[in-house]
Amino acid sequence: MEILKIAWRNIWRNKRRTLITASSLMFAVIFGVSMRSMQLGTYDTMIDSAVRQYSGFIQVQDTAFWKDKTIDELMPESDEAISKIAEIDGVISVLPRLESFALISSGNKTKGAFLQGVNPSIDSKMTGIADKIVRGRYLEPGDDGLIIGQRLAGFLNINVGDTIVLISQGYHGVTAADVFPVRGIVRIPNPALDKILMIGDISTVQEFYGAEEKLTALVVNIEDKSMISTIIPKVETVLDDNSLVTLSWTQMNKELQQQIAADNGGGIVMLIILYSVVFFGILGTIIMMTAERKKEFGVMVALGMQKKYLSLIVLFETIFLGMLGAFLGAVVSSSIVWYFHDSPIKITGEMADIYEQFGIEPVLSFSTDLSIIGNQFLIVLFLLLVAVIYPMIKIRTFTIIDSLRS
Amino acid sequence: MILEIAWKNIWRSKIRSLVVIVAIGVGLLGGITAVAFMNGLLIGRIDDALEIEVSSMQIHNVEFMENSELQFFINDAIVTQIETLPGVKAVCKRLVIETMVSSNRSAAGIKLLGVEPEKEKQVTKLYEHLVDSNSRYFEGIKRRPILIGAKLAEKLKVHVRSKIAINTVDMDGVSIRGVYRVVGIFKTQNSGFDGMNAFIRFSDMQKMLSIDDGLVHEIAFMLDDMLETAQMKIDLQKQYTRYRINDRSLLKIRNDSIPNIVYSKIESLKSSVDYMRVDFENEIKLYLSEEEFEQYSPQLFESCEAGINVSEWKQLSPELAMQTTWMDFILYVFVGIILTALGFGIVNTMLMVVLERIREIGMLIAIGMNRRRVFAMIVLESVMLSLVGGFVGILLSWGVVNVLHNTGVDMSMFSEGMEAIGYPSLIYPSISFGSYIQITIMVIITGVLSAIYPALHAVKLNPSEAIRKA
Repeated sequence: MEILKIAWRNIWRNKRRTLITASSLMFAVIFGVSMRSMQLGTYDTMIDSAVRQYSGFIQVQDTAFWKDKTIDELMPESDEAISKIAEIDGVISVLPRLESFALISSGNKTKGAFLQGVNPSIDSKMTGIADKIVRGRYLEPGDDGLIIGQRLAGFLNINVGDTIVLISQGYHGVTAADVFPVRGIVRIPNPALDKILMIGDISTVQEFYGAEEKLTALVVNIEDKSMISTIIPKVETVLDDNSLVTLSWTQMNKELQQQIAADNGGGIVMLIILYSVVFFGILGTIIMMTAERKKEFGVMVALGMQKKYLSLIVLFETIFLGMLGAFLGAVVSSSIVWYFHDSPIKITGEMADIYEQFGIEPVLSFSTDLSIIGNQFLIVLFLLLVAVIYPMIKIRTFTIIDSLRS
Repeated sequence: MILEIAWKNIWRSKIRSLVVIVAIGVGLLGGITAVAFMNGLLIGRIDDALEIEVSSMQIHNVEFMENSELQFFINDAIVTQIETLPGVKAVCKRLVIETMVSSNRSAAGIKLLGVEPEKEKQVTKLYEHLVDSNSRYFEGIKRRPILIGAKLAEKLKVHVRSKIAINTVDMDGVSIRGVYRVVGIFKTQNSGFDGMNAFIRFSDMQKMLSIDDGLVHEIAFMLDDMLETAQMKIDLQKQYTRYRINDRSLLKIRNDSIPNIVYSKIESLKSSVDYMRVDFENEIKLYLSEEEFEQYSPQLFESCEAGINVSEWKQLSPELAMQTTWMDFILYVFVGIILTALGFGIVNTMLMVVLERIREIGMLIAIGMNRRRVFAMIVLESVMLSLVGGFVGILLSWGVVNVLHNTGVDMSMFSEGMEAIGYPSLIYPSISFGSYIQITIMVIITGVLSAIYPALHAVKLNPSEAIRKA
């Protein structure tokens, strides 16, 4: 216990040096935590945007569908399969989907769009689309009308109550053509989707494509994305069907996953550079401190202190020195992160357009994942332990005579 | 003489100075290499984007820009006029519609462009990106050839010589269907572009849509200096673009963030007059104050455009323009953060230096050395230390960046992700000479700022107390 007291008091013997070293670490931690928090926050938003609002984290499909993605490779709509999957631990709901491309026309305007057939009573619980209706209403079960993305509606100049014409290629070559009333207009956060998405009740959409009782996919809505790797094998066991395949979002949206991985790698590189620089700073300080206290160490050992005891004091001094700064840095950066997590900064102007082009909501999000701070504490601790090797070796190898004469 | 003393002082404690130098060297090596990498990424994207996708500049009917519908043409007389302008490398004309294409397996919504292959080859390098030896750039298939991207070919499940149907509506509103044969498949580093664009012959498109001669949707051209488009834009606007203050332009102005005062002044000018650019500029200058004109004229110009719209690559691909300015900013931020972290280390070091030599400094002041000179000496020591470290760092990074530039950095494990946003998977890091100069300046500033606190401390010493310090 005394070692700790001594170590703590020792670092305050030279207030200036301690404070400067502590600020250096504080700065590094503040910057490191803020940057990582922003990065991870952005990834969460991107994933949320692309995955939760659209494909879901896990999908079950016909094996041929994934390769070709055409309306011909459908899977059967089986209530039995749905209820079996729903029973798995961690699964919130199972959402049937029938989606395909269609040409939408209103008046003399035509555009390529994407029609998504869903079960209105449960689908929106995952995607949250029902809360984003700006005009009209969301779908009712068995509804014969459609919901249109706001930008799509704007382009076609249509409003609630208008009639639109849809033409497409249906199941096994039939021509799909029909008229639908517009029930509501929804503001989809992902701008790319907002320009092309139409949503309808699944039986209506199945009828349109001539694909009654067939689906393009079953979306498995799960509690947390960390459970993906445990749930997928369970789904496959439960289904026990070789013609079906269960995919995770990382397989369905490889592009997004790689973009995130690449950016993440960049962030880690930046952290490595930053902490390397800080390390040299700490190392320099420790070298100076050791040289300065040669005589003091000599006296203590001459008076009978065991070298081991001395080493331990120095070890704790170094740790306290480092942790002081890291702790202050953690406190400051946590406040920053939590503040902006609650009130995110909205991005405006040109930058906002860029974000929208990449399909992300233009907000600066901060992640409050505690492992961000935890990891950086560990890094700082590691660096301190490496740096303390120098004085430890010096203490071990010095002779009392030499040190007393310095 | 202070320079000599400062320099010699640095080397009095070799280990300490070496630690600082290595720190700065490593920090700069990391920072500069990282920035060079990001720069190489951006250059790879821009070169490709301009040479294949948007060219230096494009010209459209103003209404076509808002609503890409069939009937918004421009007269192709402009093409020959632009060709003769100095600074213009090559020009080509196109017809453009958004339509649906289908094979017997699948269908997709795309942008279909009718082009003249010979002219097109001078403007874009698309023809160099054919996937295999079977693919041709409009040679070999006489009747209705179509060139599609690899991503589209994959979606439609077609290959060279397959048939594709185009379903659309012609000039008279009649529904038509054209069957084309795939003459070639291209693959660029932008899989989005590959999936969304298909090319047929200009003449075929004219016939299919019953479009008269002399009418085009889009004119794309390359300047000799690919990126320098600002002056050309203004010159062309002066000649071809008209400006109107009517309800439509007023509505656009209102939707921008232009203050009410300016809006009402412009509103009072509402008329059915078509201004030439110069006249328009003079007209609004009469009514707006100098600051108002400075700040809002670009938006006003844009909103009141009628007739011909001239766009630079920066407007056609705004994210590119933004990333270019952002890249300079990133250099400062990255290196700045590293230097700040280093700065703390330098402050500590210099403080140590001063405290160690407190008797010596006290003595110097006591025998009459000017305090300002003492201050300068310490600051100079810090600056020189930083410069040595900076020199080492810059030299190392120069070496590393050069090697990487020659071998290229392979990012193919991320290729799908990169291609989705149009970035190359093989990157050539590079950094301009000017950037090295900027970095050196930042290093000097770091050296100076870090030394201020320790130097001040030295200068405030009471010489008689200092000399007696044990």
